[in-house]
Amino acid sequence: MKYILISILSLLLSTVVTEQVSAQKNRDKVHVVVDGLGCPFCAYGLEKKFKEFKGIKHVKIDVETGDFTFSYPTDKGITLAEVEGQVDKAGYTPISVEITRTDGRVERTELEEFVPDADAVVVEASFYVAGKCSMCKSRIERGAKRVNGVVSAEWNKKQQQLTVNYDQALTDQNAIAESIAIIGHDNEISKADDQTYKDLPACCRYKRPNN
Amino acid sequence: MKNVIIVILLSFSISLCTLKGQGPAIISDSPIMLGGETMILRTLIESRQTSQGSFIAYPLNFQYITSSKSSVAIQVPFVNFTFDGSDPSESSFGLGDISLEGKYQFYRKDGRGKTFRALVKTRQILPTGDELNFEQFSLGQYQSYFALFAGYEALNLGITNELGYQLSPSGNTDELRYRLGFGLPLLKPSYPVNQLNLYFEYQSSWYPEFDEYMLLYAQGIQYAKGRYALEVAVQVPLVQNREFIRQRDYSLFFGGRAILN
Repeated sequence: MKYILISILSLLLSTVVTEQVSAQKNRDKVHVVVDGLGCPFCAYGLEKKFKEFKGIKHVKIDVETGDFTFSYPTDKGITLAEVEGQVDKAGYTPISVEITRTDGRVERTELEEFVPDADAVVVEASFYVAGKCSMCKSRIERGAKRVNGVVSAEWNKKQQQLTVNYDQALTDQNAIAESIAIIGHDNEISKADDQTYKDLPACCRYKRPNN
Repeated sequence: MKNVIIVILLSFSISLCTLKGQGPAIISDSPIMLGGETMILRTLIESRQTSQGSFIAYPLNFQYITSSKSSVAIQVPFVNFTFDGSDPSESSFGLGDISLEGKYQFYRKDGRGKTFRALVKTRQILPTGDELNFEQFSLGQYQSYFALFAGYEALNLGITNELGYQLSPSGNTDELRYRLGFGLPLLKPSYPVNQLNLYFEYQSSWYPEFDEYMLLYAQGIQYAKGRYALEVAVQVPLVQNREFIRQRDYSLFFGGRAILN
């Protein structure tokens, strides 16, 4: 009887441990460097905003360095733009975001130049992106370049046109446009949500048709 | 009193040696909106001794931070007062002036471990209290307050500035007010929150109707743990060019705040 009980308990324990390990394995690890955390209470505001991401776990914030880390279910496919947008909505400034996927891939917002393979087909496209100032230009180009596969991005303020070169095997115009809309800039393909638009600095609030 | 001064000076010396992390000011305002959609419940009981008598205010303040840039608040104060020379049994308790407040952040500049924010704020005060000459709590008349507010918050220092003007239809409670506050932390910044902070706050008021001036100084200490904070402060007038009936002796503050969600 004693051995049966021990066996059952061992089996239960191993199941729980296996499930936890499996759950850990199925989570992306996110590391964000945030500016503006002037006091520990600020970190509370940041964490609270990220709790809107259902499934967030292992939250750690170092207010001295601005390092903010958490894990998130892989199947939800959190993007760099979503993380940056959420930091912005919390009222702080995202400096860099790094997501380590469960398969080992690492995505970063730091604009490391993307070098396409020799046999890659790089295409050029231009489309309308709304913006107003040099801060907009920086944000729009950063938004485009963080999409994996984008070789270059240049936004022309006068013509309100973004010209991108990208590896068509890795991405397309829709993904680039979506990445830009998420950070607050309406464009030919995607529209930014109203709150994100309102959260832009005053100098960046371009005219919208209904504003 | 001598011991209190020694403790304050000692605390100040310690704080200068270990400047690290601080929180929301006690008497002045805070420029941080805590991520938006946050509810904060606060009370800061003030026991004020004036030339006219003793007043105690029990304000209940509910703040709803609507977004990372704006917040609204309602304050419902209850007041207890005893006029000098009257029988202590004649002290009364009642509702003070209810006020509604709105804040909007129009500028933000962030750096590593620091932020500078500027806001506009307004407060509308309703005459729900008696005319007790209990400034900020029970004047029994409509008042509107408009202010520009700027705060620099860093891990080793917090500075808040507020310049505002209070208007009333009669003009006799009009006030040009400037508040300057410094927050100094005693503990290393950590998250979850565990802080002990010292505050030094000045309030300079000019009353144009009577051409009177008053400068108040407050010294406070705050302990914050998780979503809660406890705070105590003492405020004394440094300059009072006011008629005797409007002069203050001192104020003692005791309160707490809780982030509800």
